[in-house]
Amino acid sequence: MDIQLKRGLLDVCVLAAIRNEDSYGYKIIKDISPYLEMSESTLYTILKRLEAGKLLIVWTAEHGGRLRKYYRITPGGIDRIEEFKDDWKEIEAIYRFITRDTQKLTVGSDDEELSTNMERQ
Amino acid sequence: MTKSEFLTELRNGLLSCPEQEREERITFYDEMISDLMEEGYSEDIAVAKIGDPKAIAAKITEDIPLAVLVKQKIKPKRTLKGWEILLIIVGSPIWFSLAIAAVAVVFSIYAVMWSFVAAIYALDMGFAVGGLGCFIYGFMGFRLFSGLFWFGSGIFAVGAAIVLFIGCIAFTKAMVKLTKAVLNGIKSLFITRGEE
Repeated sequence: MDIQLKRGLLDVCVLAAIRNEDSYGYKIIKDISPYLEMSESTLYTILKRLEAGKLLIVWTAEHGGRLRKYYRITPGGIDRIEEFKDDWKEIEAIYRFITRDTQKLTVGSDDEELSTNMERQ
Repeated sequence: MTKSEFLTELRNGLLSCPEQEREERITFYDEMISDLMEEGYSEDIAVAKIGDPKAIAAKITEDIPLAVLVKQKIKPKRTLKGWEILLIIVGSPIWFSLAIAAVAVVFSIYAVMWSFVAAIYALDMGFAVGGLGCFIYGFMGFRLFSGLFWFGSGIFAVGAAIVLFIGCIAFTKAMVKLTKAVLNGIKSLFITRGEE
């Protein structure tokens, strides 16, 4: 996937990974991995950014004789996911616009076909 | 590689990082490796899955803003003694002017190079405008031979302008690349490296 496009999705993916229950670094990467590849340093940067933006809070708990950091989503974080859903509707409209254009270029080889295509839309 | 070897190498690679961030990053990777091992991976494989600590540290350092790197580099490792502070203050007419001179030299080299870029663009513009002028004059002269001469000159000048313009663009791109390389070079001066 295009890097710019991926960058915009990562923050929301991390928020989605902690939406239903608090999670920790390794589990977040594991939960996201079927959909998006994310390195540990990338996750660190994103978690820091989300924490600074008050979209999540961090707490520490003991686990198996060591400390583990857990991340909990805030109401602001949930808002951010909802915003993304709204954005997605716009993206779908843009997608339709983009694919309509390619149809015209490939199918509409002569003028007659082009005009019927345009009528259809 | 064991977990502690990994973390030591990471720490050495992150000496340019402010201390608090460095420790936070190390804790983060420590937790990651422990979680991988808890999942059933051997220590060796868990560490290998995370990657090369040197490369990770280099990538992190690359993203640190220059201002933070400089601050970290010039921050003394211990409290300065009185005579050292005195020396810095007394020596300031020398080191301060040297620093300003260094900045000025870099800046003037830049100014010269960019003026060269501006000059070739101006030359290109001259060819284009002059060429068009010749072209029009060739038509307005109403004399066959001189008209042809101006017409030809016009075609030549416009052609030269087009060719030169391609050169202008290539040169500008090279300058932008060079600017980035120089900035990265300056940045690397402030990256603290650990002993191997």
